[in-house]
Amino acid sequence: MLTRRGCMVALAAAVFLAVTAPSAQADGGGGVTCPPDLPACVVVVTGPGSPGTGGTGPTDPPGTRVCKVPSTGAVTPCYDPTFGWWSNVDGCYFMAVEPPPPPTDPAWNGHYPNGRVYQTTCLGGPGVGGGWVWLANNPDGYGGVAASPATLAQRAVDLMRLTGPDIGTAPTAGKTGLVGLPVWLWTVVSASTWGPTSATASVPGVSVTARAKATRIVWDMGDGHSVTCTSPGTPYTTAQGDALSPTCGHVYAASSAAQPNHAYTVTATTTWSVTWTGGGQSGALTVTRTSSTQVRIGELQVLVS
Amino acid sequence: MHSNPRSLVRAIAVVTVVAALTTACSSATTPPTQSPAASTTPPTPSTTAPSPSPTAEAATAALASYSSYWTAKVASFADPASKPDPKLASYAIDKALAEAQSTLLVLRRAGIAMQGEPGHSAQATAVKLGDPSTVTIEDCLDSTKWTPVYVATGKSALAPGQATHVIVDSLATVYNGRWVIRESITHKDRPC
Repeated sequence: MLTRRGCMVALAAAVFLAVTAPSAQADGGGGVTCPPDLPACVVVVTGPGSPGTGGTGPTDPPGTRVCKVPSTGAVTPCYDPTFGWWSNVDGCYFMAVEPPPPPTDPAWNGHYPNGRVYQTTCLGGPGVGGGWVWLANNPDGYGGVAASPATLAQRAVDLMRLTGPDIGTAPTAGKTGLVGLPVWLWTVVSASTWGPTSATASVPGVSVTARAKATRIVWDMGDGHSVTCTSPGTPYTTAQGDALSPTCGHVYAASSAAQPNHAYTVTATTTWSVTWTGGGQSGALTVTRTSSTQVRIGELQVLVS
Repeated sequence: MHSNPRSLVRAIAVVTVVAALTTACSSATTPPTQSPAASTTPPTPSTTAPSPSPTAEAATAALASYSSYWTAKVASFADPASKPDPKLASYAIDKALAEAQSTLLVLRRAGIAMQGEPGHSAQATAVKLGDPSTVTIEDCLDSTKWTPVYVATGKSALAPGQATHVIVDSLATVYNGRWVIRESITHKDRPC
């Protein structure tokens, strides 16, 4: 069931990607488009100015928000009583799901009861594929309120897809190390695990760029000790023998035999320093991302005569 | 040069349709009367009304909601310039609702409406009871009498060279006390 569901989600994403691009092109000046819920593709001959479509809604006074599909630039109403509020950042309409999904629903992404789950209806944009989406705060334009630079900065952080360390250890997970011998700790360095990286979130008239770099990793070793490293660490090679890591490591004083699964669970938390500028403002944020692995440590049995 | 793979696909499709028809449960308007393939309860040949298993009841309820979902979708796509049928949001959630609504917006912008009604041969292929309960539904959608036309001219908007019968895979679940369709994928590339 899980596999099938995963497959369906993947297919949904694939179908969405497959149909979004052609329909986007069709918006500009005609062509074949394949909406996800039709059994067949259709030929679109009308342009963005076709009657009864586009334009700001009849209730929008002049000078208010302009709503556009990010991929095509086509103007779309900012509010629809069925679909909700348009977000220029995401290219989707958002409507809070009422009643909210049950706490165990995967749509909460583990955040229940914080934030809200929104029904999205998307016309092509970054990051959102349509369906139930959890957000900590209302998206751009929700309730007629355009995104503030600080909100855009938060979305820019989301777009960077920062992760916890891509953990490397010596001994590697699955092998057994020894009490009293050095354990090496590092993360494979990439834009999403150590940075630097950046992303921009924008709405018409306001664009916010966020830049992130990791400043430290706190390694909770699972034995009551934690190690703070201000570098990504040094990958171990066999040439290093029993040497201590020059940058980031730990020595266990006891075997992991008494631990669950006979292994220490190592939890590594990266602290990211984020700065952002845009919309005439700037600011700084700190975000953390965590990942974990397991390390087995055995006792060296020495016979002394 | 496509003849070999194509005939193989056709052969598989025929087998699928036959399998679907022999255990078919539902059409757009007829509620299912048969236990689904996944049911563990064999049909009872007695004259007293059999009490269906929880699995069969879930499949029946999910297929009824699937039928309601399609009725609302067909009504909504028939007049994309107007508000969608309110029952669409009652019987579809999450990705299924998102895709129905985004399709509606594409139709609205393009000035295209779907005329007529599709045919169905939906069956429940898997039932899971628990938290959450789910029913997997496979349908062979017949779109020979459900076609896109330009609202302004009444002429067909159908792109040429496409299958008229395609597989639709859906996932039903329980939300707000009723069976709803959570995901529904129309496989334009999988004829049946």
